[in-house]
Amino acid sequence: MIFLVTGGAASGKSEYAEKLACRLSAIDGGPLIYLATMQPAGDPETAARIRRHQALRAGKGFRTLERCRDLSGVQVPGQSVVLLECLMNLAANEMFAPDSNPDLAFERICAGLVHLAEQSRHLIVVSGDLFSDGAVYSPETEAYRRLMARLHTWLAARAEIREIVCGLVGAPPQTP
Amino acid sequence: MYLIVGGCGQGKLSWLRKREEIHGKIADGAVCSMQEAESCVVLDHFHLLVRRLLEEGKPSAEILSWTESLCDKNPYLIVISDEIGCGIVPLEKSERDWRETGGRACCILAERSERVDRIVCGIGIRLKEGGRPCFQS
Repeated sequence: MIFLVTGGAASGKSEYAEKLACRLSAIDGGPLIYLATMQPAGDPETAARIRRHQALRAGKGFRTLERCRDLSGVQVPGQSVVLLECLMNLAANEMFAPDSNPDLAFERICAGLVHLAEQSRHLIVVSGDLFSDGAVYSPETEAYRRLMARLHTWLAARAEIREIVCGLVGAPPQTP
Repeated sequence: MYLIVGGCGQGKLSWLRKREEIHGKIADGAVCSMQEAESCVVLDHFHLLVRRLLEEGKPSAEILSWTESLCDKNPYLIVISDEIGCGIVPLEKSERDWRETGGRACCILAERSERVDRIVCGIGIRLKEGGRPCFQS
């Protein structure tokens, strides 16, 4: 099964996603894989963010894989419970890397997610709500936001959605 | 504790007023002191209080531990806060710190609250009641 865990910044998405992964792994067996997509940038803030996430999942049994783009090349053990953290970084890396074609980012990311989902028992994708701040951005940033919105819509058709609000699960979406 | 969250202008305070008679002080996070927050009945604009404390130079960790102590000192407090984390990561570090601290502080308040409501377009969605999350998964 695929899960999309989304919500605002600092809303407790990662904590929720980790608990969900551990619970699924306990029910269905299968190794816990943490797929980290953040590019270690070397600045103290990014380093602190990575350290916070490492501390959060320490001792929970995750094996960490680092892959900041091209998920189609990732191999995980069969029946894994894969926690992908996070789609926002993956999409930015696919879109803004100097040697990548931004027009192909959507297809590339979807192909990577399908590839991962096919290999694993459960795939939990952590993303974020970037869509409600009422600000106008540069064309590049707007294109990125559009890409994220398309990815969410694509995923939502295939995934269980968990919107996290202040550490709580939000109301489940209504299907027409 | 009772936490009401939602985007700006969604009718959070009006929603509360329609459902509860408020006897006592409504403090405004845009201007109130920490002491007022600790003794009022309703603390509105909690996100603006967090912003002011950061602007005064208080470290994020200190604001979060104060938020914990607020729950102990004023256990029947109703807190109203905007959700501020639903956009592109800001370029300004101070803006990022605000989102981060405001978000974590609201997680603390939600954890400590008996009831949590989210207001969208004036309509309330209960997320927590009687100390238990409404939507289990």
